[in-house]
Amino acid sequence: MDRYEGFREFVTVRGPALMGTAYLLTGGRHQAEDLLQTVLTKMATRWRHIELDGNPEAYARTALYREFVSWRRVRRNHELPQAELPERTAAGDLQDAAVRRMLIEQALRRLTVKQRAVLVLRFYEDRSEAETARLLGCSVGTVKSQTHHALQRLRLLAPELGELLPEAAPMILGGER
Amino acid sequence: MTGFRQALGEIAEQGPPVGGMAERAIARARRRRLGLFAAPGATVTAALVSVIVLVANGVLSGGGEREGTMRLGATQTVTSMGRTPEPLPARGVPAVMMAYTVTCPGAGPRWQACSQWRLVTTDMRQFRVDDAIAPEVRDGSLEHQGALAVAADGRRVAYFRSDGRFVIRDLARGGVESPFAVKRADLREVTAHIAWSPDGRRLSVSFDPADDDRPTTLAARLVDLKTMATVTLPLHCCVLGLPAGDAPIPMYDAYATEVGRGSLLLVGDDGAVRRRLPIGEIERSSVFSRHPGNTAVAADGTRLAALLWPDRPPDDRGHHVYVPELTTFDVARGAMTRRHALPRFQQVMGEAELLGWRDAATVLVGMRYERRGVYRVNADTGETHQVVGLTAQPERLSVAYGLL
Repeated sequence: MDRYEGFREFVTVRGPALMGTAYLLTGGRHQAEDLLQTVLTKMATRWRHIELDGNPEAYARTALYREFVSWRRVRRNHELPQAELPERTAAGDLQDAAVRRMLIEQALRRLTVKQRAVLVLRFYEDRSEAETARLLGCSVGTVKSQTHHALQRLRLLAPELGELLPEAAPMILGGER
Repeated sequence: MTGFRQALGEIAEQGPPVGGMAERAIARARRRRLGLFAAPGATVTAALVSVIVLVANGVLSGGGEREGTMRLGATQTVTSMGRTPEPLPARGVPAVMMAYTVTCPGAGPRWQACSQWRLVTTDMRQFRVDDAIAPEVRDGSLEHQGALAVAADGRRVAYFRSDGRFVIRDLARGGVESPFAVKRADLREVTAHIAWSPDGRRLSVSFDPADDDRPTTLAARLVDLKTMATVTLPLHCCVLGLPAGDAPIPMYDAYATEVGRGSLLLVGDDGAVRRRLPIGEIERSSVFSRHPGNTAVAADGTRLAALLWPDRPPDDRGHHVYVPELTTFDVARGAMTRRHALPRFQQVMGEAELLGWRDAATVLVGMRYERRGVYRVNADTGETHQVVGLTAQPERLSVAYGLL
């Protein structure tokens, strides 16, 4: 019996979505490839255990986020893309999806690792605060405060995005632990 | 918010294609499982290899340290910096304390020529073994490891020659015996594991399916070193170590069953299975228990030592941290008797390997990538002392476990 039975199929079916998340998290094609490859290698190593657990997708996503947070903590000094934001964009330009995408991408790159991960989980994957906290291995309070700070910073970095961004929940003192 | 989510979705679609990631992940996982994994670019550059031998003066005296602690003796350096050692002379070579591989990163004849097995003698000289199959690198990946093992007393070495013949070479007298041969092509598909019994009476060769999970076509062999008679063992893999005398040989049906259904087989000199002990519980609770390099049997055959990586939940930062445990088993009962966590060997999995029992209480552990070297570990207390340091990153390592 092939020890990796089902693994190739899993990567074929779920790989593109995982790559999309990796790209959102890292903001770079090479970094996304590195991140996902690292996670897939770990999964292949433990594939039988993971398959027995019955939810490889959940394992992959958890590993992806946690790997990203620890990985970028180590490498951020020399791997974070440092592109400057473009000149202020006229509001009408935001109708252009490409311009909007570029603005968001560049603003995302200037967030902290955890802020970025929180935004991807909350607003791309539509996870609850509790799920996000579990996936990132932190408290719900931390998720709330990171989301708040991330959205505030996005507004500051790219005021043109104001209408697109969700409202930041008010900070509750003592909410971050 | 819908617009923000939509924009994030559009960005996600810009990610690169997944391509051959599944195959690369499997290839890397296999190498990890076989204890071969190194970070990209970590392959040894042959020209810059040196071996530091830490003389163990007084290392074992005193004792009383807690588990996981290490003490280093005075160091003595044997270096082959910038040059290849001389070829192994036909005879007159003193006892060898260790053998290691040098792997070169490039392709083609020039690089292949620098991949080799090297022997380090007790008087600190080094020799290369030209006729032993050396590790082969292709496209940056290790294709084959070669196989060579030093006898417990360091006076003989056994290896596969490039023509597929398995040879046993007496280093002082120069005699060469060849009890059997295999097809060179078959050898490329497996990783051969050679085990010497501590009394030098017998030797085994088993074959791990290097890049596949199915049993190989090569059956494991047992060689009587007096008569050179060869017996076929019941499985191709894996002999977990060879005790002295005619004590039963522990084998593990690693590739014949699924995880959780494995058995420890006790095999006689005639190749017949004497006993079969289920060890599925151990398999289920640990990671990487399959590799023969993770086990060694004591000289009297009563105790089996195994390096196990218990499958633990992630830590509070979400990281999977694997701390190897030195676990000893009562072979007769198939029961675990002691386990000691070895936090100093915490690592990327697959790096530590058991090299053998030095004496009735001490095993030797080799580290090939991080904290490189050979360590004595007391199987009863977990006390650890480094006895050899390595600046090279060998793919394979063998020691005369009676001499270190």
